[in-house]
Amino acid sequence: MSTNSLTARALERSASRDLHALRSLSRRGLAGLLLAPVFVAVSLAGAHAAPCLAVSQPLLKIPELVSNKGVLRGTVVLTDEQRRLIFRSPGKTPGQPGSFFDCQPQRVRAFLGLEAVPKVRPSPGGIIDPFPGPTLRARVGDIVQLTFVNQIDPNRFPYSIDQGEKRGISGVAPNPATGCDVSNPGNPQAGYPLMGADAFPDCFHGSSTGNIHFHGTHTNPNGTADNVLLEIRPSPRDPASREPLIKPETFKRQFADFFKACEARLRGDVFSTYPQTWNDAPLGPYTTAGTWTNQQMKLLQDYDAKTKESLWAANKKVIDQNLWPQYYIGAYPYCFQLPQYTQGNWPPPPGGLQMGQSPGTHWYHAHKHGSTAINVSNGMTGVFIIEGPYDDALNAFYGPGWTRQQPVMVINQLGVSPNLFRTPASQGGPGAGSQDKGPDFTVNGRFQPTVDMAPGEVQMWRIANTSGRSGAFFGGFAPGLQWMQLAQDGVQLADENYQASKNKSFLLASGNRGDFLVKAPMTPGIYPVLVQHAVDPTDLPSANPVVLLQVSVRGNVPPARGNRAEFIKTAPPQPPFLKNITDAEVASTISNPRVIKFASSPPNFPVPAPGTQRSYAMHTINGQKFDDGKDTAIPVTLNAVEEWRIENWTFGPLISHPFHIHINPFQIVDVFSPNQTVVNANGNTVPKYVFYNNPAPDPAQCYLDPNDASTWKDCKAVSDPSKPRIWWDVFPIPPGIGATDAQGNPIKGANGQQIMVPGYFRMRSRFVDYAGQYVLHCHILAHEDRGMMVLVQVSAPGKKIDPTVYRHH
Amino acid sequence: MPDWSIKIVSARGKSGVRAKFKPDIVGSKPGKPLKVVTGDLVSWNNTTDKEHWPWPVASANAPPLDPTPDGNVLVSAVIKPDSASPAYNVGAPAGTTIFYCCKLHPEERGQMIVVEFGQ
Repeated sequence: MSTNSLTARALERSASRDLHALRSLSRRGLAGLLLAPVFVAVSLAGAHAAPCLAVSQPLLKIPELVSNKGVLRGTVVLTDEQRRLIFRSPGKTPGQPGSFFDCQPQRVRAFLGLEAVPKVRPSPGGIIDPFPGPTLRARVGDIVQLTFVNQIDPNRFPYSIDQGEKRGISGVAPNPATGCDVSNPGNPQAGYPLMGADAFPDCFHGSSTGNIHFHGTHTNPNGTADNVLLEIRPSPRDPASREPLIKPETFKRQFADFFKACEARLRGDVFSTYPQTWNDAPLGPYTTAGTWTNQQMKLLQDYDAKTKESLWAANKKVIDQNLWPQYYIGAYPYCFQLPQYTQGNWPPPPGGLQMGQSPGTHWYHAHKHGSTAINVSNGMTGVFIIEGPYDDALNAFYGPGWTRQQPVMVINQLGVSPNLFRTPASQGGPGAGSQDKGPDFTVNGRFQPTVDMAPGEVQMWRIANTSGRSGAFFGGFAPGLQWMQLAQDGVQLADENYQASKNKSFLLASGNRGDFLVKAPMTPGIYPVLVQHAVDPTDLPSANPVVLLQVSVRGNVPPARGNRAEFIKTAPPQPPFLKNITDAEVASTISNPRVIKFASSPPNFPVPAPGTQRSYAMHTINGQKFDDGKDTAIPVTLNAVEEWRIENWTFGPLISHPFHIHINPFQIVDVFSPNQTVVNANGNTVPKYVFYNNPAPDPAQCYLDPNDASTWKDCKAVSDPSKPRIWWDVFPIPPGIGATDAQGNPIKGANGQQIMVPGYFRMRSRFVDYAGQYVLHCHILAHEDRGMMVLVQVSAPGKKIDPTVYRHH
Repeated sequence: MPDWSIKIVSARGKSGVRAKFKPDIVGSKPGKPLKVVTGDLVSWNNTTDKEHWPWPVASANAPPLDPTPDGNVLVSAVIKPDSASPAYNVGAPAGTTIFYCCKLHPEERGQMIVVEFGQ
């Protein structure tokens, strides 16, 4: 999607430089790209440092939970575990020359799949290296039945259990920030959050509370499905042994009965949102002793008595409105369907599914507001492969079972806590230090792993960028490697887009996925795959290319033959519900789209008055942070089809906030990126948009009238509605720009302030099949935790839910 | 940068010390210093049934002073049983040893040694 001009040749030179840097500058760390899986001794003088696992490890096979007979069953345990993490210093940015690496045993929060296979064995010395949560593999139409168990010991991390109800911990004076995590260099009046402007619940907090967002699923957003308002607190612990009292088998009987009932309901009605209340059997009624909801009520009451919180009261308020409550202790049963669209064409007959679940590469991750960034960086992410006719078509070409043998790649920026926890030097702290552009990417928990390929072989790579911050820009693979894109964000491309994708650069922003066919060259050797970390295209000119992984084309295996050496000729046919959303469908909103405004203000903006507190950058949607008991939800009528304009009122530093909305994918109609540059006829790079001279001084440019917002668009855009559009569930919003004249002076409006022009994209989506409350947000997850999120409330006519009923902490 | 947790564990020795500080690292032992880097975060996890309060002191055997000479502390309040402290952000440069004791039980002693990254 990006048009960055880094060429493969430039990347090749960069790769050489990068490898050289790694080899020559790793004082104790990763000694360059070694092919043999050897261990490099590091930090001999350190007390805790463990030797880093050498680069070039074989790509880790992630354990899988696979559906059987139409049901994906399994147990996902959220636990804390000591794993070996890589840290970079002194480089603030990945790949920065002069950086070196160190590995330390760090306690992280992690998803484990109890029944998932193959098991990940510890590395030599018994050290556990990071690995993602289990890959979930199901098929459209399947029922998902996952037992989720939270066994985190919150005391092994800085105090972070939710405390919104308490509004205070001893030693910290009550103020709007109370309830947030606290970090300071010994002065309680410095550090996070007191010296900033973060206020509960839009601050880092609650990182031992768990839930799962099934990112990319088109399903029920309520109850036991893709419900991110759930908060599942850790199991209580035995006072003596410190072992969790709630185990995977604790509610086995109740959950088995529920899963059986749930499957029957969902098989009978694909629109079912069962269970809807705590009185629904067999999980309830909560007033009946022995039911799961009754036991949850008691657990919550015990929890409240110990912590002085009021989770049971919050639940009771919701229960009394016949709604599904949000607070739980220790364990939770996820049960929902991946709806299968069975019609041969679109639109469907009245009353039928408007969409189905798209088969493709989806994913899941922690989504507790206030701790998504920390939990995702700890590694609480995994891939959710949803198979369907798409896989059948690929297997028909490449051979039976081929898609299940292909690499799954989970990119992440593994770390332990947000940079804002490092107190700035101006406040007497050590400063953000290194890594303030985030840690380096890993793939399946490994640094620069190796993918083996036979000469000429075509593989299908399912790549998910699960990192909470950086986009991964693939400017070009190593010369010799070729690729074609099959799917974006778990939704397969139309053949026309597939054919046009060959060897094109692409960006996977935080949350994006892509399925790619990658063809190895015939010549044995090592071929690095390079990426650049970016949160905005303007990052790219200075972003260091880094090795994401490398392909080892083996000389000791015969070359691939037949179809295994070919790109599939045509992309698998798309399901009929993926047809373009037409102008006619959005006729009611096309001339007056709903406008969603994302905005980041830089630190200390506006400049604080003398003697007042320092502020951090602020991140808002429609001028507000995520609400807590306020009615700011975006109301949408069930089965409406709408066009929205998603604006970015961020002007510096430039950030392309990755827009993400749950439940329904969307199509991009046009993109306006006012900071974009173009190469003109003379070969010079010039701004694409100017606010002076009409027409623009260069034919490659567009003139924007600073006083006429209707001109703020791409004058070169050519929209052909007959062309198939790509479906996304994450798309970066281009940042805005201040209008300037030919001399670079601000152009001011009637109010005397510089005229600011937002970047935007227009998108269309079908809000179909499932009503309920869910969210849209920035997928730079620290922004989401700090408020850049808003509820979307999809309601059937006359059935609006009170958006203030749920709390969001 | 790394985060660390130090367990406060019950001690059963004859020395009179009823609790010790143990870095929460596989293989670490009670009383062992924690090596940290400037910028690291440290928290204390009270696994005992008594309150404790890590408090900076000038040297290995120095008494706890309140207020501290520079006004800074490690933890702003006592740590109740079965709970953890907020994060202490190490600001001292490499080469520093941060001595501390329990303000409530000064015989309980611990150390953090600030080292260079990679050491």
